[in-house]
Amino acid sequence: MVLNVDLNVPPLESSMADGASGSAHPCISQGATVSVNPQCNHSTRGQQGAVPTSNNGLRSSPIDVEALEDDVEMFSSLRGFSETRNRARRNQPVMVVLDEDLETRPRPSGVTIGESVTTLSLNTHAKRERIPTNMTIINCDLDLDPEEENDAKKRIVMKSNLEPEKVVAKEPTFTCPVCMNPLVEASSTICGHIFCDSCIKASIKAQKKCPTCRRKLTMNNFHRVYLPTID
Amino acid sequence: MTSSSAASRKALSKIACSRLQKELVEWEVNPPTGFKHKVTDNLQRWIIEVVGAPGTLYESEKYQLQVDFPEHYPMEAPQVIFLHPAPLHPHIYSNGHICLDILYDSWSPAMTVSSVCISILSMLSSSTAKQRPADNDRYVKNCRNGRSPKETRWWFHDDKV
Repeated sequence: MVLNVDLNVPPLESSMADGASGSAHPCISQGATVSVNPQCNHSTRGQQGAVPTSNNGLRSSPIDVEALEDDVEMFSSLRGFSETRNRARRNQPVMVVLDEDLETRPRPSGVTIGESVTTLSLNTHAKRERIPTNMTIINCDLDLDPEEENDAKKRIVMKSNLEPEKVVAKEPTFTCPVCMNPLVEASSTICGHIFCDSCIKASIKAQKKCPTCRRKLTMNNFHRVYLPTID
Repeated sequence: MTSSSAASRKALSKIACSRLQKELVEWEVNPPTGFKHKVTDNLQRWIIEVVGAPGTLYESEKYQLQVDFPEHYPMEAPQVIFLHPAPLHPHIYSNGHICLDILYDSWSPAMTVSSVCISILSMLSSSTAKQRPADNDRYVKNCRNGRSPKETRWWFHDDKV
């Protein structure tokens, strides 16, 4: 397994390393099987000198907690930190999908993965909001950023190569050609063109024609349509 | 400098405003080839630069379109004219008025500034002779009091150019 560790984030806490659960780290490779318990971290937070943990199911791989300790203190500033965090959160789903592919390929479902993404995101967010400010801070912004960005790019590329079909279909939204907003009370003309109810009314009133095909229309020549939803 | 009386029009309706903002965003993301919107803070009057398409009589020539939007746009057509100097074209009068059906009778609320621009460039591109309309002088004289081209009863007789 490739050890992909984000140096921007605190490492495992020693006391947590063998815990039954932990919060997920957004940039560490991890399988979809990780169980996430948001409560767990709260109990340890706030202890003087305690480093917030990222226990992410990597217990079997040789992470040297002591070695990582050096790399913890890399937040150059609060601003830098929040940027990093945002970036990390943006990358998160990418990372999870990729890992799903590497580690749990036999799993057929994309749905559970999606759920775990959500959980991770919430949890990570909550945890990292409260990163202690009493940590030693070293300004390594300049050294750090390019690396991380490259890393993120790499991950995005890999994702698009590997798992395009896993993306859950989004509800399509159709735009009214008259007002250019999402359809409100979709209505079809007898020539089959669809507009907002109010837009086709106004158009027929103004021109007595279909805005799309110019077919002659009267006020009776359109009706509501009820588009299906994805469920 | 502007040759039209359109300045005295009513302010845009809420619907018109919202739709024009959408069009502007869409334009910025995906402007029609050969056109450049000159940024102003006036949503109701757009000034658009057009460059003649390669391989046509107007290649690399630059002209400016002035697009004025009525209160009830898009239910009503915008007023589109060329600012001086207007291109020499059989359907473009020397005062900048354009004889093009979609700007008047054949306007549809599903059309956009972008689609109108493309039609105008297409009209320029299909021209085979750089000349004014036959009735240019009479028409321009008639419009001297700043009449809008939308008040003209146009006769669309030529479907080739």
